[in-house]
Amino acid sequence: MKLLKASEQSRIGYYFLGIVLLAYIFLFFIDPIAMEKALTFAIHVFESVIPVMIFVIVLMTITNY
Amino acid sequence: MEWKTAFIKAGKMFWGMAPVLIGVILLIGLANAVIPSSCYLTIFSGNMFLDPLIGASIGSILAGNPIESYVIGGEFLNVGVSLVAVTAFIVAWVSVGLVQLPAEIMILGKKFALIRNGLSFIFSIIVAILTVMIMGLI
Repeated sequence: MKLLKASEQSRIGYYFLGIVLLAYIFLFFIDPIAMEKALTFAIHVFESVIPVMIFVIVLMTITNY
Repeated sequence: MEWKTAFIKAGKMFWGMAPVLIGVILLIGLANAVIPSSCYLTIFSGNMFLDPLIGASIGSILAGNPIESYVIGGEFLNVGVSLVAVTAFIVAWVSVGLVQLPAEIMILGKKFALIRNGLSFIFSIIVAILTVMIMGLI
Protein backbone atom coordinates (compact mmCIF):
# COMPACT_ATOMS: atom_id res chain seq x y z
CA MET A 1 0.00 0.00 0.00
CA LYS A 2 1.29 3.46 -0.91
CA LEU A 3 1.03 6.34 1.55
CA LEU A 4 -0.53 9.54 0.26
CA LYS A 5 1.81 12.40 -0.62
CA ALA A 6 1.06 15.92 0.61
CA SER A 7 -0.03 17.03 -2.88
CA GLU A 8 -2.42 14.06 -3.15
CA GLN A 9 -3.87 14.85 0.29
CA SER A 10 -4.34 18.46 -0.78
CA ARG A 11 -6.10 17.28 -3.96
CA ILE A 12 -8.44 15.09 -1.90
CA GLY A 13 -9.20 18.16 0.24
CA TYR A 14 -10.21 20.12 -2.85
CA TYR A 15 -12.39 17.20 -4.03
CA PHE A 16 -14.09 17.17 -0.62
CA LEU A 17 -14.69 20.94 -0.79
CA GLY A 18 -16.03 20.56 -4.33
CA ILE A 19 -18.49 17.86 -3.26
CA VAL A 20 -19.74 20.05 -0.39
CA LEU A 21 -20.16 23.02 -2.76
CA LEU A 22 -22.09 20.78 -5.17
CA ALA A 23 -24.35 19.78 -2.27
CA TYR A 24 -25.00 23.51 -1.64
CA ILE A 25 -25.85 24.06 -5.31
CA PHE A 26 -28.15 21.02 -5.20
CA LEU A 27 -29.85 22.36 -2.06
CA PHE A 28 -30.24 25.80 -3.70
CA PHE A 29 -32.44 24.30 -6.42
CA ILE A 30 -34.44 22.16 -3.98
CA ASP A 31 -34.82 24.51 -1.02
CA PRO A 32 -33.19 27.97 -1.42
CA ILE A 33 -34.26 29.07 2.07
CA ALA A 34 -32.52 26.05 3.68
CA MET A 35 -29.42 26.79 1.58
CA GLU A 36 -29.39 30.40 2.77
CA LYS A 37 -29.83 29.19 6.36
CA ALA A 38 -26.93 26.73 5.95
CA LEU A 39 -24.68 29.38 4.44
CA THR A 40 -25.52 31.92 7.16
CA PHE A 41 -24.74 29.36 9.83
CA ALA A 42 -21.45 28.37 8.13
CA ILE A 43 -20.42 32.06 7.91
CA HIS A 44 -21.24 32.44 11.62
CA VAL A 45 -18.99 29.43 12.39
CA PHE A 46 -16.24 30.90 10.17
CA GLU A 47 -16.40 34.17 12.11
CA SER A 48 -15.99 32.36 15.42
CA VAL A 49 -13.17 30.14 14.12
CA ILE A 50 -11.04 32.81 12.39
CA PRO A 51 -9.40 34.19 15.61
CA VAL A 52 -8.48 30.63 16.63
CA MET A 53 -7.03 29.97 13.17
CA ILE A 54 -4.89 33.12 13.40
CA PHE A 55 -3.63 31.87 16.77
CA VAL A 56 -2.86 28.44 15.21
CA ILE A 57 -0.85 30.10 12.40
CA VAL A 58 1.08 32.14 14.99
CA LEU A 59 1.85 28.96 16.98
CA MET A 60 2.89 27.13 13.80
CA THR A 61 5.20 30.04 12.92
CA ILE A 62 6.78 29.92 16.39
CA THR A 63 7.31 26.14 16.18
CA ASN A 64 8.82 26.50 12.69
CA TYR A 65 11.16 29.30 13.84
CA MET B 1 15.05 29.76 10.32
CA GLU B 2 14.01 33.41 9.98
CA TRP B 3 10.61 34.68 11.11
CA LYS B 4 9.53 35.40 7.53
CA THR B 5 10.47 31.91 6.32
CA ALA B 6 8.81 30.34 9.37
CA PHE B 7 5.63 32.36 8.70
CA ILE B 8 5.57 31.40 5.01
CA LYS B 9 6.05 27.73 5.94
CA ALA B 10 3.21 27.95 8.49
CA GLY B 11 1.03 29.69 5.91
CA LYS B 12 1.69 26.90 3.40
CA MET B 13 0.87 24.24 6.00
CA PHE B 14 -2.34 26.05 6.84
CA TRP B 15 -3.19 26.52 3.17
CA GLY B 16 -2.85 22.75 2.75
CA MET B 17 -5.50 22.02 5.35
CA ALA B 18 -7.74 24.98 4.46
CA PRO B 19 -9.91 23.19 1.81
CA VAL B 20 -10.90 20.44 4.25
CA LEU B 21 -11.47 22.92 7.07
CA ILE B 22 -13.68 25.14 4.87
CA GLY B 23 -15.48 22.01 3.62
CA VAL B 24 -16.13 20.80 7.16
CA ILE B 25 -17.51 24.19 8.24
CA LEU B 26 -19.76 24.36 5.16
CA LEU B 27 -20.87 20.77 5.86
CA ILE B 28 -21.74 21.73 9.45
CA GLY B 29 -23.89 24.55 8.07
CA LEU B 30 -25.57 22.10 5.72
CA ALA B 31 -26.18 19.58 8.49
CA ASN B 32 -27.55 22.33 10.73
CA ALA B 33 -30.05 23.39 8.05
CA VAL B 34 -31.10 19.92 6.90
CA ILE B 35 -30.88 17.73 10.02
CA PRO B 36 -33.09 18.83 12.92
CA SER B 37 -31.37 19.04 16.32
CA SER B 38 -33.88 16.53 17.71
CA CYS B 39 -32.20 13.94 15.47
CA TYR B 40 -28.90 14.35 17.36
CA LEU B 41 -30.74 14.02 20.65
CA THR B 42 -32.30 10.77 19.41
CA ILE B 43 -28.82 9.33 18.77
CA PHE B 44 -27.28 10.82 21.91
CA SER B 45 -29.83 10.06 24.62
CA GLY B 46 -27.81 11.48 27.53
CA ASN B 47 -26.74 8.07 28.83
CA MET B 48 -23.40 8.33 30.67
CA PHE B 49 -22.03 5.14 29.06
CA LEU B 50 -23.88 4.87 25.76
CA ASP B 51 -23.21 8.48 24.67
CA PRO B 52 -19.40 8.25 24.86
CA LEU B 53 -19.55 4.88 23.07
CA ILE B 54 -21.46 6.43 20.16
CA GLY B 55 -19.25 9.55 20.22
CA ALA B 56 -16.07 7.45 20.19
CA SER B 57 -17.45 5.30 17.35
CA ILE B 58 -18.17 8.37 15.19
CA GLY B 59 -14.76 9.86 16.07
CA SER B 60 -13.03 6.60 15.13
CA ILE B 61 -14.65 6.43 11.71
CA LEU B 62 -14.11 10.08 10.78
CA ALA B 63 -10.59 11.24 10.03
CA GLY B 64 -8.90 14.57 9.64
CA ASN B 65 -7.14 17.42 11.34
CA PRO B 66 -7.81 17.73 15.13
CA ILE B 67 -8.96 21.35 14.61
CA GLU B 68 -11.86 20.05 12.52
CA SER B 69 -12.93 17.79 15.40
CA TYR B 70 -13.04 20.82 17.74
CA VAL B 71 -15.30 22.70 15.33
CA ILE B 72 -17.62 19.70 14.91
CA GLY B 73 -17.53 18.98 18.68
CA GLY B 74 -18.43 22.61 19.42
CA GLU B 75 -21.44 22.40 17.13
CA PHE B 76 -22.47 19.09 18.74
CA LEU B 77 -22.45 20.87 22.12
CA ASN B 78 -24.53 23.72 20.67
CA VAL B 79 -27.28 21.34 19.55
CA GLY B 80 -27.43 19.78 23.01
CA VAL B 81 -25.19 16.70 22.74
CA SER B 82 -23.64 15.81 26.12
CA LEU B 83 -20.08 16.84 26.99
CA VAL B 84 -19.09 13.23 27.67
CA ALA B 85 -20.06 12.23 24.11
CA VAL B 86 -18.22 15.20 22.58
CA THR B 87 -15.10 14.48 24.66
CA ALA B 88 -15.09 10.83 23.56
CA PHE B 89 -15.63 11.98 19.97
CA ILE B 90 -12.63 14.36 20.07
CA VAL B 91 -10.30 11.89 21.85
CA ALA B 92 -11.25 9.08 19.45
CA TRP B 93 -10.88 11.38 16.42
CA VAL B 94 -7.31 12.17 17.46
CA SER B 95 -6.21 8.74 18.73
CA VAL B 96 -8.21 6.14 16.76
CA GLY B 97 -7.89 5.92 12.99
CA LEU B 98 -9.99 3.30 11.23
CA VAL B 99 -9.36 4.94 7.86
CA GLN B 100 -5.58 4.95 8.39
CA LEU B 101 -5.59 1.45 9.95
CA PRO B 102 -4.35 -0.38 6.81
CA ALA B 103 -1.39 2.02 6.55
CA GLU B 104 -0.64 1.61 10.26
CA ILE B 105 -0.79 -2.20 9.93
CA MET B 106 1.58 -2.06 6.97
CA ILE B 107 4.15 0.16 8.69
CA LEU B 108 3.91 -0.87 12.35
CA GLY B 109 2.47 -4.38 12.19
CA LYS B 110 -1.01 -5.88 12.51
CA LYS B 111 -0.82 -6.83 16.19
CA PHE B 112 0.47 -3.43 17.29
CA ALA B 113 -2.01 -1.45 15.17
CA LEU B 114 -5.04 -3.45 16.31
CA ILE B 115 -4.06 -3.36 20.00
CA ARG B 116 -3.22 0.37 19.89
CA ASN B 117 -6.46 1.32 18.13
CA GLY B 118 -8.55 -0.97 20.34
CA LEU B 119 -7.04 0.39 23.54
CA SER B 120 -7.29 3.97 22.26
CA PHE B 121 -10.99 3.42 21.57
CA ILE B 122 -11.63 2.00 25.07
CA PHE B 123 -9.54 4.70 26.75
CA SER B 124 -11.27 7.47 24.78
CA ILE B 125 -14.50 6.43 26.53
CA ILE B 126 -12.78 6.22 29.93
CA VAL B 127 -11.05 9.59 29.42
CA ALA B 128 -14.37 11.18 28.44
CA ILE B 129 -16.15 9.87 31.53
CA LEU B 130 -13.24 10.88 33.81
CA THR B 131 -13.03 14.35 32.22
CA VAL B 132 -16.70 15.04 32.79
CA MET B 133 -16.54 13.59 36.33
CA ILE B 134 -13.52 15.77 37.22
CA MET B 135 -15.17 18.83 35.67
CA GLY B 136 -18.21 18.06 37.79
CA LEU B 137 -16.02 18.00 40.88
CA ILE B 138 -14.42 21.34 39.96
